[in-house]
Amino acid sequence: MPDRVLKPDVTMASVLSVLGQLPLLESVGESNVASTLYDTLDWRLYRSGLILREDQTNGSREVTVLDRHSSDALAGTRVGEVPRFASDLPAGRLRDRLAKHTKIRAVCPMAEVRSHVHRFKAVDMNDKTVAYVHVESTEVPTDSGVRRLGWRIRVEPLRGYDREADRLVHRLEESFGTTATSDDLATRALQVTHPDAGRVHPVSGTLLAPDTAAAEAFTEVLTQLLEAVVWNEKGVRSDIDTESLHDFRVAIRRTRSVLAAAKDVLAPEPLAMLRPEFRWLAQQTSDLRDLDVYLLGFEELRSELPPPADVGILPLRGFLRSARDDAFAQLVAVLDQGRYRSLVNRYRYFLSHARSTVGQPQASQPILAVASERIWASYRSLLRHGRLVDDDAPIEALHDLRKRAKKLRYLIDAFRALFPDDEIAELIAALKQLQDNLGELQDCEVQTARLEGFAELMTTGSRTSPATLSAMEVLIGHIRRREAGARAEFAEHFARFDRPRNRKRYRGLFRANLAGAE
Amino acid sequence: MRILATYSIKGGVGKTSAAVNLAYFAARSGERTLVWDLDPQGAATYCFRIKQKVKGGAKAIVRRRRELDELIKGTDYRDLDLVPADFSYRYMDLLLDSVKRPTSRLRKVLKPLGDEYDYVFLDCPPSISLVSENVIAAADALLVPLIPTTLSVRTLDQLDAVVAGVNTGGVAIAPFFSMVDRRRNLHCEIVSSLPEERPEILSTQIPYSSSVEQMSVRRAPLGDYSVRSRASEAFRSLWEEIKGRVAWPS
Repeated sequence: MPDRVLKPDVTMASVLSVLGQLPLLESVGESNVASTLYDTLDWRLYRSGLILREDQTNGSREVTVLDRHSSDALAGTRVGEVPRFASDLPAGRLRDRLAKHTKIRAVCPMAEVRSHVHRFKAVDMNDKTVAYVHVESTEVPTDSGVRRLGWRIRVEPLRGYDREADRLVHRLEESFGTTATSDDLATRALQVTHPDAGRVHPVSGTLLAPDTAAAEAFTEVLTQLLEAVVWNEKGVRSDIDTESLHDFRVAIRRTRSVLAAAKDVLAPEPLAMLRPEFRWLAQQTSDLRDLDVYLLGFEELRSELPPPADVGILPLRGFLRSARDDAFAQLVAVLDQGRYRSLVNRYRYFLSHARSTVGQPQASQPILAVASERIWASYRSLLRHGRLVDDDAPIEALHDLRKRAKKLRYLIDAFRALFPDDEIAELIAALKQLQDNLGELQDCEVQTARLEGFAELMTTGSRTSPATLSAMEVLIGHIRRREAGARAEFAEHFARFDRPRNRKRYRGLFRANLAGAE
Repeated sequence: MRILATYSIKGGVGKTSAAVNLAYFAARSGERTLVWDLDPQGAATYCFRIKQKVKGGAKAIVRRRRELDELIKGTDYRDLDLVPADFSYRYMDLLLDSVKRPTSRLRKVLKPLGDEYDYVFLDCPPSISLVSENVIAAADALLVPLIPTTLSVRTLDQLDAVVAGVNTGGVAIAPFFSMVDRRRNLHCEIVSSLPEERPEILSTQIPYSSSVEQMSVRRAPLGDYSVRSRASEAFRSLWEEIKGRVAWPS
């Protein structure tokens, strides 16, 4: 049963004085409670109606997932320190609940809440506690001073004593002439510290009317993507988890795909300047992302190694962590550079004027026709090149195909709101299977090359044991086998992508609009 | 969730005080703990000042008309809940006999609580019955209080025979000496000799103590009113020893 909240229209002192005299209610003291509210940078808990609260009282620390609106505790546990990731928690309801929403993202402190609590216990005729009554006044420290959130009475029933708690609430209502209410304390506290709590910048799904002029629609999509770049940049700098960098890169890649598709829609000179600059920016993030991927998958890779290689490989993790620290520092330096700042500023200026572009052949055509044409062309190009890849094709041909598949995917993502959602979802699912296969090939290729590079660095930079180098060789062998497996599966994946049903779906969704537009 | 049952064929050996105090210390150490008082006499329920009544009685539980979750009462102690005893539990044997697969019914009833609790303590009535077969089938371990008398060995032998006759998931038997009176030579002799014969006996001994008898007067676990007493300390150590038994099946 949820806690009941009462907000009497009298002073707190008079309430405390009355409570002290009620029969079957006894004071059990008062205390200061410091709580911190946690969420992921992209407000995953908040957006699911939840919040993670850490309470510190008398040296003990407890974390609880709350229903943000009712303040009901859904799962909680005592901890030594607040976990960053759900996986840091012991198995149980709290971990499951948190993992379901936060997934790979870390939680970070969003607001502090300080309460002073007078606590009473309500007992029955057997002197058995049936509920606790908390009279609590709450404040939230902010950069500009402390904001008071007021005071309230909260009745917390013990499990199985709902009826007794209801009777108590009724008694309190009679005493103070007030009625039980709901109090979204966590939401109020978060809105004090983060007026935009719960807001995230979409990286896709921009709502567009099909007959919007192409220049306006492209500008709208690119503006949203720029906001996503800038928003994720904060997360990259704070380095709370690896997802901000991932989202930062996705926003950049989508920007590049849409810029490439903006030919004949937006002015050519700025596009010619912006495209290489975004390419440069994407390159600056690659090292750090590669190392993140290594570290995220390290335990899984290790678990696949036979002994003693599974132990011998451990020093590589230390090396990777140190290389990651360097790569992170380098990326932050890039983000501080004038070149990045200037790119963002010039790009923002360009977009602020691009909406009303004139003089480009397709600037005023309906976006449905233009987006369909771009997606159809990208799809045709992927098919054409994919059909040329046979078992003897060089690996470069497969990498080229991976890039084409990505371009297609980003274009579909950018303009998906123009098409029926269920059909697009099926189409993306089929494309994703092909992308996964091509991605695995690329990952294996990069990982092998990087491991060979690491081995060289580790032997020259410090004393690395032969056991570690030999474990790395085992790992390289293992990755090569994975790569060979992915290579062997390519034909099957491509054939599935190229099957008649999928081709019909692309024709129906994109070529049909093209014909109509002509 | 691990299910631990305080069980003995004999009565008056300290089952309820073990269930109440071990559960109290389990909860104190941060484990989410539930006690199910299966004894119709309801001594554990009384100790926690909870009313001895279950909506729908034993029939509602055995026939699954009511989930156990709905019957749980919070005790005055954090992380420690209780399913109360009910006088109708005295007919539980008959009710169990009327359902399909009667020996696995209690395990089935407890299963939905798997995510909610770390430890469940079953406080069982002293008997050899369908209820005890259910308890043996459901439990990960039987915590068996032994008063150090010559009959102790016989009690353990009988228990082995009962357990052998039940299809269990590999229940561990963890006897421990209870109500040990160091002033009595017989107690001292048995406490030192029996573990050689029965190495599964836990090393912590619960002393005979008037503070334990006070539980029914105070209506609280020892840790609540006599935390520094020898008996309270012994239950705390016994809990640590039980928790450390990593070899138990999960």
